[in-house]
Amino acid sequence: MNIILLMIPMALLLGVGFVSAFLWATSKGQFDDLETPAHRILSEENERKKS
Amino acid sequence: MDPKSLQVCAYCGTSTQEARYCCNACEILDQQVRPLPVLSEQENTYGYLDKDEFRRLYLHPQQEDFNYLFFAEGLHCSSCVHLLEKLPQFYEGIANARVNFGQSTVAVQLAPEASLAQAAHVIAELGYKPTPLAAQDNLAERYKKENRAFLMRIAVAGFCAGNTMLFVIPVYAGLAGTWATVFNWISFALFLPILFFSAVPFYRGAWNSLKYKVINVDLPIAIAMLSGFALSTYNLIRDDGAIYYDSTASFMFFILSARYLLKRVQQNYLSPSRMKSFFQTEKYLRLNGEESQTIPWSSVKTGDVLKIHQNQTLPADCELISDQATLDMSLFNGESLPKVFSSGMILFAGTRSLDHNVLVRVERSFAQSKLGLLFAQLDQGALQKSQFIALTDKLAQKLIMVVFSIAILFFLIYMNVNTTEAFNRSLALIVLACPCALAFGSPLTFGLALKKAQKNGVLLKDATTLERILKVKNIFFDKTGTLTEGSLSLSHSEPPVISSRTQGIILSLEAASYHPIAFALRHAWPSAQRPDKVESIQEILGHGVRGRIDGKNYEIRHLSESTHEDETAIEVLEDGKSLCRLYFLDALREDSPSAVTRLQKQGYHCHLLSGDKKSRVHQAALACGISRDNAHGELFPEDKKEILALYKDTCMIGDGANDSLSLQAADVGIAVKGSVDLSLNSADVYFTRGGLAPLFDLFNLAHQTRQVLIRNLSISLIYNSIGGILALTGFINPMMAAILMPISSIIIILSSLWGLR
Repeated sequence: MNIILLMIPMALLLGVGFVSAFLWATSKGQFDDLETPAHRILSEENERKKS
Repeated sequence: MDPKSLQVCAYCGTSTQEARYCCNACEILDQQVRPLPVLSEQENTYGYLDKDEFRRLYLHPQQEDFNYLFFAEGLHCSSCVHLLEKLPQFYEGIANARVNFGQSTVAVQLAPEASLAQAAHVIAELGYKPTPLAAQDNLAERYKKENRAFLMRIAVAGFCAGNTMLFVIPVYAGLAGTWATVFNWISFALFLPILFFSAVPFYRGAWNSLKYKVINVDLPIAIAMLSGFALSTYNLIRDDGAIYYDSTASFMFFILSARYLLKRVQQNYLSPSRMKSFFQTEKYLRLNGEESQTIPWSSVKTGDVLKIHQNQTLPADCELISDQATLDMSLFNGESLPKVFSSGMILFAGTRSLDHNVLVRVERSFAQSKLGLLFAQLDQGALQKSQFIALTDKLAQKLIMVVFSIAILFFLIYMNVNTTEAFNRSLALIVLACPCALAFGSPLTFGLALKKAQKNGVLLKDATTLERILKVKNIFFDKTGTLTEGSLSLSHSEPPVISSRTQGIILSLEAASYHPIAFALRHAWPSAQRPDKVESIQEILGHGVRGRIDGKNYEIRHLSESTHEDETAIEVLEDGKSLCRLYFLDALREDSPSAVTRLQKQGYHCHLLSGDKKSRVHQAALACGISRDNAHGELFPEDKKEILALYKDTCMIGDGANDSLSLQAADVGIAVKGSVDLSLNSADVYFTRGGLAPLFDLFNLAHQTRQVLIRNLSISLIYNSIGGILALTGFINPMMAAILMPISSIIIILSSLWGLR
C-alpha cells in the first residue's frame, strides 16, 4: 500500500506537467488561429524561413 | 456531365470551370515567384503610405514579430495563404509575412528602411485589395488576450475536474478511514485552482449582476459553486457528510467549455476593423496655393482646400469651389441617383464624387458634419437601447428566487430539529438545483445556432437576436438596395433597338466614368464593339461627356430628372442631332414581391421606408403589395427612426450607413448590403447573400433554436426538481450527484446537437 505514497504525487506531477505545457503553448499563441495552419500544411515546401 | 467541370486547376488540383487555374493565386504560384519592380512614390497608388504620418498611424509597436497589418480583401483559398506568406520573395523589404485566414489579414514584418507603400503595392499586384489596419482599430488583438485567458481557465478546470474524479472513485467504492480523508483533502486541494482561477469570470458576472440589480445566469452559478465548496469543506473538516468537489468541478469545466464555443463563433466574423477605418484608409490631396500635399483623413482640417478625385468620399462637410459636381448620395441618404451640385453649395461628408478633380473647401470637421453627428448618435444609442432580457435570464431569475426561498424556508423550519442537518440539506439543494441547462445548455445551443446561421449566409452579432426576432410583428423595409437591386439598370430606350455601333460609341465615351449610368450600360451591353479611337474626350461637370470619334462630334447629356419622374434618362447626340434616348431604373429584385407577400400571409405587417422620391416609393410598394399608407418616402435617417418608434416589436431591413440609425432603433436590425463591420456596428444581423431569402432562414432557425432551448430547459427543470426533493429529504448522496450531473449534461449536449443538426 505504501507505493501509493509515490504514485499519487507522480500522477499529480504528470498532470501538472501537461497542464503547464498547455498553458505555455497557449501563452505562445499556439491556439490563436486554428484555421490558417490547416491551409498552410498543404504547401509543398516545408521549410519556413525563420525570422 | 459537363466536360468543363472535369477540368482541374494546374496548380492545386481543385476542379475548376475556368481555364488553367482555379484562381489568380494558383496562377502566380505555378508560374514564377520573383521580386516585383519597386515603384517610385509617384507611380505607386499607395505612395502616401510612406509619409511619416501614415507610417506612424499603422505601426503596431507592441508586437515584436510583425509591425504592420493589412486586411487583404479577396483571400479565399489555400493558395492565397501560400501566396501571401511568400511576400518576402516578391519584395525583399518584407522579412516575414503571416496570414490569418479567418480574419483575412496578413501581418508583415517590414525592415525599418523598407517601403510600406511597396508592400501594399505588392499585395495589390498579387490580386488582393490591401487595407492597412491601425493598431487601435485592431479588436482581434484584444480578443486574442481574452481567448488565451479563457482557454487557460478551461485547461485548469479540466485538469482539476478529471483528477478529482480519480480520487473520488475509491471513496465511492467504499474506501474509508485515513486514506479516504487523504483523498478528500487532495480533492479539496484540486478544487482551489478552480475557485481562484477558473471561476473568476463568474464572480465578475455575479458582481455586475448585483451591482446593476439584474439577475443573470452568472449569479446562480457563482452561488452554487461557492455553496458547493463551502458545504464540502465544512463536511470535510467535521469529517462527516457529503462532499461535492467532483460534481462541482466537472460542472465548471462544462460551463466554461460551452461559453468558449459561443465566444469563438461570435468573434469569427467581427473582423478587426471598425467603422472609422472606412475613412482612415482614405488619403486626400490638400492644395496650398500652387503646391499640393497628400494628407491622411485624420489631418483634414477646417479651411483646407482639397482636390477630390473621382470615386472619392468626402471627408467632412465641404463647400464646393468648382463650378459643378455630381455626387453619389447613396451612403448618405440611400438615394440611388446622383445629384448635381453647383458652386457654393455645401456637400456632405460621406458622399462620393463622380467627377474628376473637384475642388472643395472644408467647412466643418468630420466630428461636426452631418455624418459625424449621426455616428455620434449611434454611439450613444448603443448604450440606450432597451435591455432585452433573454429567456434564459428570465428563467434564471425565477429559479433562483424559488430555490433560495425554499432553501431558507427549509432551514428555518428544520433548524429546531437538527441544525447541522438543516444547513447541510439547504446547501445541498442550492448546489443540486443549480440551473444546469441554463448555465451550459443555452450557450451551447446558441453557439451551434450561430454556426448554422453562418453557413446559411446569415451573420448574427448576438445570440439573443434569435429570441428577439420571434416577437417581431412589424417589418420595415428600406427600398434602395433592399427591395431593389440598388443600382441602375437600362429599362428602355428610344428607338427600342440600339445599333451595335452606337452602343460601342456610348461605351467608349463613358469608359472612364464611375457614374451609376456607366455601370448600367457596361452591364447591359457586355459584348458591344468599341471603336478604336476617341479624340478630345471631355467630361462636363454635372452634365455628361463630349468626344470625337471618326470625325464626328458626340455628346452624352444627362436629361434633367423632372422630365421623367421615375426614371433617369440620357440623350446621345451626334453632331448636335439626337441619336437616341436611354432610360434607367433601379429595378426591384426578382424575389422581393413574392417574399413580401409570403411575410404578409404569415401575419407580419410590412412597411416601406425610403429616402427616395414619394412617387418611386409608392410604385415599389404597389409592386410588392405593401399598402400605400405603410409606404413612406422622402425620409431622412432621423425620420425613419421616428416612424419606427411609433410601432412595437419592429424589425428593420436596410443597407449600411444611411439606415444605421433606424437599424439600431429597431428591435432587430438587419443589414443586407455594405461592409460587414460597418453594418454590424448598428445592426444585429447581416446577410451575406443578396435578396430576402435569408430572412426566412433566419425565422426558421429562430423557431428551431427556441424549440431546443425549451426542450433543454424542461429536461433541466425536471432534473432540478428531482435533485431538489432528494436533497431536502436527505436521500441524496454525493455519488448520486456525481452520476446524475454528467448524465443530465450529456442528455443536454445530445439534445442540442440533434435539434440543430
